[in-house]
Amino acid sequence: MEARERLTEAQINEDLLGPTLRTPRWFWPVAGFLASVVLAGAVSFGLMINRGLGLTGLNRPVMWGAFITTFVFWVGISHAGVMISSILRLAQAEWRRPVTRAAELLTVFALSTAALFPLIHVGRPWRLMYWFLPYDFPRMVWPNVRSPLIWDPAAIFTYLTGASLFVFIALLPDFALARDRTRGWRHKLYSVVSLGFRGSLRQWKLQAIAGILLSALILPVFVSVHSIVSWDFAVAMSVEGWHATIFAPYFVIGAVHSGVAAVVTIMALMLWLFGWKRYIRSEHFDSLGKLELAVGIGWFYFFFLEFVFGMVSLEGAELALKDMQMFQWPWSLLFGIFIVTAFFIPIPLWMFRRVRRSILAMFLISISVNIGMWFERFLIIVPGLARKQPFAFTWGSYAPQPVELIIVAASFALVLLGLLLFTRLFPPIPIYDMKEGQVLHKDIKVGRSTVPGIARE
Amino acid sequence: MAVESQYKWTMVVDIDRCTGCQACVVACQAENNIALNDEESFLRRRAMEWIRIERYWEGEYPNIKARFIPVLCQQCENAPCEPVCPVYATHHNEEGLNVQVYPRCVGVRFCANNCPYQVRFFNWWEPVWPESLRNYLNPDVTVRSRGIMEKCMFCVQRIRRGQRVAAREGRLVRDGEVLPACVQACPTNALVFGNVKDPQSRASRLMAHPRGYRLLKETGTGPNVLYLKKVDPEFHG
Amino acid sequence: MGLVRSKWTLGLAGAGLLFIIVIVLAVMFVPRALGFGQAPEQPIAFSHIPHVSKDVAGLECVFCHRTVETGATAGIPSVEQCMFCHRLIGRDNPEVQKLAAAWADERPIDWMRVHRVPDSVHFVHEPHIRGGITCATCHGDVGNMPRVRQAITLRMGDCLACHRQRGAPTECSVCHY
Repeated sequence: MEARERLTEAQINEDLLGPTLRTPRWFWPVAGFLASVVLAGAVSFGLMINRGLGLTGLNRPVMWGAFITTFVFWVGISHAGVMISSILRLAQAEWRRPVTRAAELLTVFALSTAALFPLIHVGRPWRLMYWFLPYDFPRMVWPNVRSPLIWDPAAIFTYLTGASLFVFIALLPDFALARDRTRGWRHKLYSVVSLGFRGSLRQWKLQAIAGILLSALILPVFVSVHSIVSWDFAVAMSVEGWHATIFAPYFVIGAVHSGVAAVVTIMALMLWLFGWKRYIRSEHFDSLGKLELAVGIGWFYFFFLEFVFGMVSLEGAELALKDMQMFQWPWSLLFGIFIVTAFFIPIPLWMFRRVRRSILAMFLISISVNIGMWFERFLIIVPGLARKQPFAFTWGSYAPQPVELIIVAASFALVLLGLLLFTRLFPPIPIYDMKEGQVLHKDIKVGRSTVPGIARE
Repeated sequence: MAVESQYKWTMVVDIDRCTGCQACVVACQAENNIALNDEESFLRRRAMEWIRIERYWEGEYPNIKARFIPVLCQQCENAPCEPVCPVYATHHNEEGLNVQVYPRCVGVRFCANNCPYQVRFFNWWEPVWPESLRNYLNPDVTVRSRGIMEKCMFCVQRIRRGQRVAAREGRLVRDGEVLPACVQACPTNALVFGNVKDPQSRASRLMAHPRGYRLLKETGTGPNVLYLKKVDPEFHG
Repeated sequence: MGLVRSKWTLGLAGAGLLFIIVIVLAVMFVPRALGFGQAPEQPIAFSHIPHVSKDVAGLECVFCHRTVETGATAGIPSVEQCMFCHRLIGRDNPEVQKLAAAWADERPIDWMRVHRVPDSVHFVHEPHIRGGITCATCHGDVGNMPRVRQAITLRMGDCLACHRQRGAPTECSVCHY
């Protein structure tokens, strides 16, 4: 391992808080561009409300398309935060420190964006009170708790609450730090959000306990969220290729696969945009790469199993569906893109230390994984619908239309914009956590060489 | 309601009598204010036909025969569309109908995905009728707006009317008194509608028919519509 | 320790409170703003009071709203039906003269509709009358209204409360199809 620099606290404060307090020159043009893409998405949504969902490419067999694909995609991305923060925190993995907040933020913004998609997707968004706000006391008519579409919002809002708390707890000391170093409106803002954090021993203790408790409590939620999303499909008896019992773990591990890749993307962007090369180092990418290697292979195992189960069932329709997904144009093209970008590009490359330590390579691979994972969801959702049932006349196909593509693009812009605006107000690397790492840091002699290590009681 | 309903509506479709004339399709379209299907809606697979005639070919050329089967909502006992609706916009009533509650529907379209018979239709656009047809709309049936699902309910508006008449006269609905539009229009009497809780009704008496089968029975949906198999001396079965 | 009681936290709480108040006010007053509870102006300033009052004509509702016991709608009496009486009664009343003019021109009167349920609701008067519901249950005391206004919201909750109370069917497809 390369030797780590010892940094003073003042240096860390300056480096990590600086970009938050001073707006970089590229910021407003980039934010403006992203905002205009989001606006285009909002206009498309308005158009869809006004004219009807006929503007999409959806049709009678294929009632769900790009919107649901993107919904599942963003819920998947949101699994990065807890995977990185909670599991690595509980496992006391030291390299997590600069990564955690980026991952948690990604969770919050990806999940909020995902939660928008069911609203965009439905035919009458103005009637959503029957669905999300089930407090219809005058009529005493309630939502249907047997529907996975009721489990979904429950899971997502629980997860969103947990993840937001997670971010907030970890931000408290940094709020206090920023409060003490700012004046004007920022000072007032930080005073309010830091909830009177003064850095007393008791406060630190409570903050640490809250972090550990949340880590442990959010784990079951983390597993349940994508399981429940998978049941949106797995409980549908009438669609070939949807009703697989393996869907829940398959979706969860796929979510971690795409989520961790997205964290790599965000880390590389943060490194380049804010020049934090002393904090985000190639060893972090190395560790993330190793984690991804394990997760990616595990995910592929589930993908393979899902295929094998389909084959072993020897059900005619199931076999025909697999045949269509893999060999029939244009599904075969999508399948090829998916399997190459999500598996055959990343997994072999991650095996090489040099690739894992090259930030550019990791950045490009992480984007490739997420391209592949979007297509994976698309290939799960659409082909099964396209040739759903034995009535040959009602088979169909589906191609996303401009409104759908714009809204999907806008969702990406929305997540990036959210993250960017966040960095304007709050530091995206946990400053106190970095300092803690510095304090615990110890050089350990192993034989003749000295390696960086960690001192713990 | 603690009182069990006196009715359980069912339909019998005799494939042997069906000529594929599509009179039922037209009658249904007119009775239920179904949006007009134009060429584009068929090409984009968005046409709405609550009852449709599926045509398929049997045998190899030259011994090939065209077959017809009218497909409508099977009013399943164990309907897959019902549990997946988040808002109870579709549910089973005591009379064995699978009803779609239009004002309740938010349009998530899960029900359509989960229907093995493909008999649920989504309003992709706001339906429009030419001025000349506006006054032909049936006032007893809601005109569905964009963004909601719609489907066959055995012409529940006619059933309700029949039940009101019967209630006023203090009796049950008589067999044949209430007919859905498709049944009424069928020129060959291939469709029979009735109350299976009345053992004397025509539909009841056909329930044990030796040619009877249920569509996609193996999926476990418990379809309420009975089909009677084609009688064809040239082909086995 | 604990929450800082700065004026900012108070301000935040105040904003939250204000938000709740706005929502409550909206729920209370939006129906009125949308026109509920108002009496539309009618082409003839018709008043139920002299028609229903025991001292004057003392008519039953059904005398004019004739289809209420048999059909979906209660029925607005035709001009001809009004003229049965008004050929002789109240001929010097200017409003009755408007009626007579319509009768002479053979044109119907464009009464403004006061009670309306959404198109997706198929309300039928007949079974309700048969079940012994009085007109005033849903329409209020029309007999004392100089101009008819909607006295009861006629929202689904009102329907359901009564249906539950009386053991009437509450299954959706009874009204919605």
